[in-house]
Amino acid sequence: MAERGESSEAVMLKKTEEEKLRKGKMIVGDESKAGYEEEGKKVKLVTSDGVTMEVEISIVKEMEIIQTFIGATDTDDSFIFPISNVSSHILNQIIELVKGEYDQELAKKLSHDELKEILVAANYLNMKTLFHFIATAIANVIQNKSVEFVRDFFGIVNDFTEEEEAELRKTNAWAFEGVDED
Amino acid sequence: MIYKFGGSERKKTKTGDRKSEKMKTNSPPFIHEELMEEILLKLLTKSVLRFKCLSKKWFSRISDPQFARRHFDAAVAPTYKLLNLVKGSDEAYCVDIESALCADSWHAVSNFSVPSSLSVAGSCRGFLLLQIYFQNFVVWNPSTGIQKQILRNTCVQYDLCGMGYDPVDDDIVVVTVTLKGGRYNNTLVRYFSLRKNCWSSVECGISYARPYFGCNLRHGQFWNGALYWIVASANRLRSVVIAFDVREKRLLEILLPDHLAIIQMESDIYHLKWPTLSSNE
Repeated sequence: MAERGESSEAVMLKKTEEEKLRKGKMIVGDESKAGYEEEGKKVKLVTSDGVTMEVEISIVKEMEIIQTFIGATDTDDSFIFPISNVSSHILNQIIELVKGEYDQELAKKLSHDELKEILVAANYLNMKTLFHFIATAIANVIQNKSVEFVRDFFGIVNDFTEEEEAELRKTNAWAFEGVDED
Repeated sequence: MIYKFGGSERKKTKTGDRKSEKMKTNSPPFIHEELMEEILLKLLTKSVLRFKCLSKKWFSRISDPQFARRHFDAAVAPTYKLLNLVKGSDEAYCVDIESALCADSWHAVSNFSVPSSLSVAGSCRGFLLLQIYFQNFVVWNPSTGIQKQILRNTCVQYDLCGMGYDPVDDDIVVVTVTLKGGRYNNTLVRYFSLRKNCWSSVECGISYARPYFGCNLRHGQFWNGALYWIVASANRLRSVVIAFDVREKRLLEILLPDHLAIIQMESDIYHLKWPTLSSNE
């Protein structure tokens, strides 16, 4: 049974691949037009707050989760991809960051909550460049901050006793010098 | 690099998200530990050390050698530091030579008093190999203050020594080589594994190198997986480079050509690094 199931799946995969190949050939037939088509093409994404957004293919290409989806199913231009973990507000921010070619100056304008939400979204959408960009941006925010600030930032509960913490601070006393005021 | 979380947790985030749509101010987005670790990997050592105090969980996560290894490897570019040890006190200052002059990263940690007879016998992956009174070694990380004294079981003053890194075992290895000289005398290599916390030894047959009789230990240069020293050949007319493969624990010998003959014993090997043409910067 399982074997038959696998083989029929394989046939389906083969079929979609053939179709892709056919489409590919069609594109190759007229290169100048194909390039234009590719550039202008938009993909519809529906966000967690129910907003349908048309996003340029160049940006969608960085979202590996959608790429695997496109690869696995037979989709056409009318297909709407649900991205249930990302709000329209955050998707707009992501589009701005990608268009701005990942400039840390842009990240400085984002609120702490926006930074965190973009990090979670980048992980969910499997956008590797965005993920490292935003992780660096958050690292820049907390680099010179106090332990208390970072606990608050990530919602970490301190489970050290006062004595334990004081002892720890003593062993690495130099690391607590010259820290920004919260 | 990018993390997938279990179904139940994902569901939790999902409902959390929906909630956050309704009452945005009340529930900040939840950052999973794996994601937070990726952020910490991008911080300077000083900040990472400070954040050991966040909670017990983070203390053990940051103390894990695996984290240290990833943190070292994640550093985009190596940082070059100038270290100033104040002899006879426990003061040590460290200046990042590439950062701005006003940067506050000038203070290194040391919790042992710096002896008057001390020399730096090697450096590798943020660790320094210090040698005290020509006898004991101390492996010291000036950024974290971690230090370990290594007692030498034998004291031969004219050994070659150095420190290298074995990437497979993720191990710092302190090496001493006693050259015996003569074609049929095996050379004794002793090495201390920081991970195993013990000395081991291996005998290697090398033919050209002559025993070194200087008053100090010769310090080797660690580069690309091996430690290198330069010594004179048995007939004193040529120079021999001795290499110890830190991973394979093998000693190799390279007799330098005649025109590179260095009769004097005081020559040393330095490895220089300069940008390659393919560099992106």
